[in-house]
Amino acid sequence: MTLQTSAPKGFFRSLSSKIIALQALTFVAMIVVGVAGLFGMERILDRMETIFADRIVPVQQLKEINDLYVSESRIIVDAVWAGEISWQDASTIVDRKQARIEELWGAYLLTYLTPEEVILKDAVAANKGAADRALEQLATLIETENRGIVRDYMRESFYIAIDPIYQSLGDLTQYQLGEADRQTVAGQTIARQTQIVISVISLLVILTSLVIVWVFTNRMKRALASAVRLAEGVANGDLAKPSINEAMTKSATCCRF
Amino acid sequence: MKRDCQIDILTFRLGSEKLAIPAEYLREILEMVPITRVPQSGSFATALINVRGVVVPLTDLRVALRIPHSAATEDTRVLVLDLRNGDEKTTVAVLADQVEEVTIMNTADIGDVPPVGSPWPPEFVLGIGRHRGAFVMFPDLDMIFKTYSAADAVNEKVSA
Repeated sequence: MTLQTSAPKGFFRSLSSKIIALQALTFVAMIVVGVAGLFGMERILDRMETIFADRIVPVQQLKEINDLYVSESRIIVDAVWAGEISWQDASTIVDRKQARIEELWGAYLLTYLTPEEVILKDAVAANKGAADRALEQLATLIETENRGIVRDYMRESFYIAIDPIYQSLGDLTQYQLGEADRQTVAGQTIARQTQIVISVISLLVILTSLVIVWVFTNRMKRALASAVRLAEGVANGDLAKPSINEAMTKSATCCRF
Repeated sequence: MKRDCQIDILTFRLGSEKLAIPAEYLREILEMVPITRVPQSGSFATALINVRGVVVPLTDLRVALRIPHSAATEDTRVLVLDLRNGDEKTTVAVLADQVEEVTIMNTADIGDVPPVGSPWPPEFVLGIGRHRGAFVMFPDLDMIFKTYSAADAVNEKVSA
């Protein structure tokens, strides 16, 4: 007896091959989804690290520099007048604050600067000289321990020298915050794009799997129904050779699906 | 103020209360300067001062925060602040009985104003923190100045 079959040849002949192929397709698709997600997450993480290192840290540094120029010096002078610290201590503290300003400014210059930022940075650098000289002058006047001279200086000269750097530091800080906002929005866009890519791939995988499963089951059901019909014919006494051959072929086809 | 981050603050005293504002608002700390009283102005912004050629309104947060008035002393200072609203910058001056320090505070340590028992109008207070064993109140400067500017505008219309 020769089995006649219309089933496809090769790897996809058997049911197990088809199930393995379906599983492999799903597995590969899931890997693609995972890689896309990982890639997207890494880009977002890079973006966040850049925002922190190049924008947030500099904002903190610039704000501290501003505080050191604008507030701390005045507070030190007030503390001397209130007797909370000595004149010598005040002079030492002003020197320390100057050193801290240099340290922060140096650290800021090591961060990544955009071309627009370089222009704003140059404006700060241009005003920094006058502000530094004002602090040096304050330290020198504090050493005289003459309250009247220090008071006059603070009233008449100190903030005139500090004001330009206050303005330019403000502009630079505003730029940093604006840039951080822009980069955050860009990071959020990447996150949304990644979400869309992952969602589309996942949807495609699910739809493809459903279609394949539907095709397989339909073909299996057709073959089974045909086999059942022929089996009923045999049971009813139809022992014609073609029927038996056909029944065996249908059974074989069914097993292959 | 609930996000956990650190902010630079300037602490100062008004009467017996300790207040804090973000240090980034601060432009200058001045000793008491000659002031020009403004006729028919409210008790909040009573005067103008000249900050190197720029006329700036001098305000008293005590009025908004219901803190008892006290006379100026040698420690009294004028805080010149730049309040930013987007790209717009408004320079105002506020009185401080004593300026204390610039320090760092964690925003997680700043809580809401209790609904009961708070001596200050809750709408004008952003929160209350604890610093060096004392309570520090964070006034909502934007709200205070917005409210009192609107009130001044109404008064001006009524006067006209």
